[in-house]
Formats: sequence, C-alpha cells, structure tokens
Amino acid sequence: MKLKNLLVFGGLLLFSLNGAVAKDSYYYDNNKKVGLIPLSKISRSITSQATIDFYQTEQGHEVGIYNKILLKIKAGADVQLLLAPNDMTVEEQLSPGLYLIVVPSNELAIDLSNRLSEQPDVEYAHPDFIKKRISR
Amino acid sequence: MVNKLLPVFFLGFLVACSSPNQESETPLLPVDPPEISLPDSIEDPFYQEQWYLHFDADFYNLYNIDPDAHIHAADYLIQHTGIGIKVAIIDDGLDLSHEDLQTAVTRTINVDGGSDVSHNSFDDFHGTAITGILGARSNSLGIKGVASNAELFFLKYSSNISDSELIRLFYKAEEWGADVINNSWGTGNVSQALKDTIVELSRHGRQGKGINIVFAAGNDSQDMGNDEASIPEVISVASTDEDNLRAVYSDFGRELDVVAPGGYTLGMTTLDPMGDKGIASIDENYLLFDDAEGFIGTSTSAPIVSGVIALLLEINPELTSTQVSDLLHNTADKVGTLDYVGGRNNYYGYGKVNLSKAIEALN
Repeated sequence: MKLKNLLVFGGLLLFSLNGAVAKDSYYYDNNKKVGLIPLSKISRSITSQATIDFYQTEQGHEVGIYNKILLKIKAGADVQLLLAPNDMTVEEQLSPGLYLIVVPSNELAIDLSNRLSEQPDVEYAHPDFIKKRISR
Repeated sequence: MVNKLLPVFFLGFLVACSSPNQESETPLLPVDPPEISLPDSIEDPFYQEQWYLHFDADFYNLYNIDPDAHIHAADYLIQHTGIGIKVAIIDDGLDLSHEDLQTAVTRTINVDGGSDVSHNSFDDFHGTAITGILGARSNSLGIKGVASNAELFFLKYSSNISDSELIRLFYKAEEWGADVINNSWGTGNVSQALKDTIVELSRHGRQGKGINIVFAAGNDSQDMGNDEASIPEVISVASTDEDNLRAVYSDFGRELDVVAPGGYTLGMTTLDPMGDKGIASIDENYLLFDDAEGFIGTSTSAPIVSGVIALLLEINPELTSTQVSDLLHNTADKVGTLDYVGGRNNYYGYGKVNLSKAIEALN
C-alpha cells in the first residue's frame, strides 16, 4: 500500500458508519450543502422491490433515496480503498471515474455519500436520486 | 385555451406498468440508411397545417398568424432531410407502428428493461408527438418531420427513474452513435452526476466533436433554475407562439439558447398514437393544430431545433457541438420586443431559429 493510500485509509476509518443511523439532513451539490426534509416512505414496484425514502429539498423538489449512491473519484484514486471501511460495493462503473455504489442501507446513503464527498480523492458523491421526469 | 394547455402539464406522472424484460440491443432495421430519392415537392397532406415550419399564405391569413412565426424552412426541407444523421429521443413512449414513422426508428430501449417502448396507457402520446415533429417521414401520409430521413433511436424513460438509469440512457445513445439527443423533459433539479455526464458527452462524444444535446426549457413561465436545460453545454429551447412572440408559458433564464415555435392558441400538428390510442379528437392518427387536445409547449420546440441540427449536420457532419450552437446563435432572428444585450436576452436567448439563415451561413 502506498503512503498516500495509507493516509487515505486512515482518514476513511474516521467516518466508518457501520451500525449507525442517518443523521445528516443535507447532501452535497457542487460542494454546497442542500437541506433535506424527510417525507413518507413508499415501495417501488417497477424495477425493484427496494424501499425508497422520499425527501423534499430546501428548494421544494421531491427526491427519492435508496441504498445506492453515485461516486466520482479523481484520476488515480482507488475506489475500493474508499469503499472498504463501510461495506460499500461497486455495482457498476458508469463511466471513467463514475461508479454506482451499493451502501448497507437507505439510512446510510446520505451520510456515506456526504463523508465520501469530504474525501480529497473524491470529485463528488451523492445519493442515486430518484426524481420525477416531467414531460414538457 | 385551457384545453390546449392541459395535455402539456398532465404528462409524466403516470405509473409505468410494464414488466421488466431482457434488454435487447438488436437493431430493428439495418443501420445503413437506404438510398433515398428526394421528391420535388412535399406531398404530406397535413404539411399545410405545419405552420411552425413554413409560410402558407392561405393558412396564415385564415388563422391570422404572424408571417414570420415559422422557422423559414423554405425549400430546404426538400433539399435536406437529415439523411445519414442519427438522432436519439429520450421520452415517455412511442407508437413504433405509426404509419408516418415507418423505417424511421432503428433502435429502441426501455429503461425498465427490454426494447419495448410502447406507451404505458391509451392516453399517453408525448413521445410519439415529439418523434413526429422531429422525424416523421416524407410521404403521402400525415406530416413531414423536420429531419424526415434522419435515423431515429428511441429511449424510453419512466416517470420516476434514478440518476444512474438516466445516465445509462445517455451513454446508450452515445454507444449507438447519436449525433443529436432530444430531451423534451426536465426535472428542475439536475443532479451533479447527470450534469457531469451531459457535459462530458456534449463536449467529447461523437468522436470528440461533441453530441448536440437539446433540452426543452419548461412550461411554467419561470426561471429555468437548476434544470437540465440550464447546463451551459446544452442547447436549451423555449417557445414562441403564432404571433412570433415568446409563448406565455415558456421558461426563461440566462442559459437559454434559442426559441422556436411551440404554439399557444394554435397547436402543433403532429402524430398521435394510431387508432383509438392517444388523445386526438379530430383525426385519430394525428394531433391537428385545431384539435381540442392540441399539443403545445417547449416540448414541441425542442424537436424542431433537434431536427434543424440534423439538417446542418447532414450538410457538414464535421461540425462540432460548439460550432452548431454558434451557428444557431448567430443566425437566429431577433424577434420580440425585448432588447438583445450582447446578442441575447433571457426570454428569447439569441433569438428564434431560422433554418434558411443557418443553412445559408453554412453554404
């Protein structure tokens, strides 16, 4: 393990959230915190049986959050190293550096994406939001 | 008036009910475009009603339409048809069997799985209407699409889908070789990963020339805000009406690029799903300009611009996405009563798309 990776791993241990419950009431969008207000919880029945937690952003937009997040890492960063401390796994690489990540629970999707966002090797991370696409 | 607005605003909330299928990427038709012999005139029976494309004196006088309300297609829709250009449409469903789309759509994919992109319910029509404006075939049936020989791909989304699913659709369009991606939808709240994807493809897709990604601005008469249409690399399109002025419903903003006809008291004649499907009340296969369920909105303006881009790329396939944007900006008509400061304003962007001027600037 390179020294840089060792330092990153040490930092990641500080945000290990296994067994914790969600406490962040925001996510990062372009490095700015966006407030989230919990709404009701419904089941998604079309493409998966996953339960989705719905929130309203501080701008009034409804977003669904489930147990997946999107992570964009910087060139040369090790995605596995970033994920290991919190039992996160790569489901799919969508494009160079952009990954769809499975997290242990819906409740941890916000907190883990926020902690990843604060890592130096991460371009950005946010829940894999479910939104209404409105035909115009 | 209200009746005409209803179909625009009620879309996008219907719950998808199809079962996931195995994904299929098998082309529906051979990818190589067939040899096309261009006609001397346009024979599509509803072409006269397509006031948004061209000036027809009888029709314009009868309905008191501003003589410049169209995009000045002139004879260029005969000379250029988008042949050899691939246009992807991301929308809610398509009547693939429509008589005026035969041979038009060569690849389809449903975000919920498989390649069936049929509408979810009998009163869905949006994707079929959009596809018609953009690429209805030139024949003795119905209407003429702006790019009537472009090769079309249809990618069906569901009303509630994740960012990752939408990202996959954009990359699928790129994989299929799309030159243009039409998006007559939006969220008002684009996520960073989707924005990143759209920027990447519009800058570096199409073998480095950039995919031309077009978005409708929205129909809520409000600032576009953090919408997909506000991404600077996107070509965002708002609407003008039959008076050649900004349509009252049209969204606005500092990233608005251009306007194009979108209708208001007059609807946009286009396709409706065939037979008893769809919403049309006059001709069951077509949404006519005077249908009680007439189709208006920035959704209809975006495929006009996507079609125009296909014609420009037919003439010069090497144009980059930035060159296409510049061309549209620099040849747009400065319509409306607002000042254009530095060539633009937030309600009309750089002005209204003018096909004749754009083609003549290329030639």
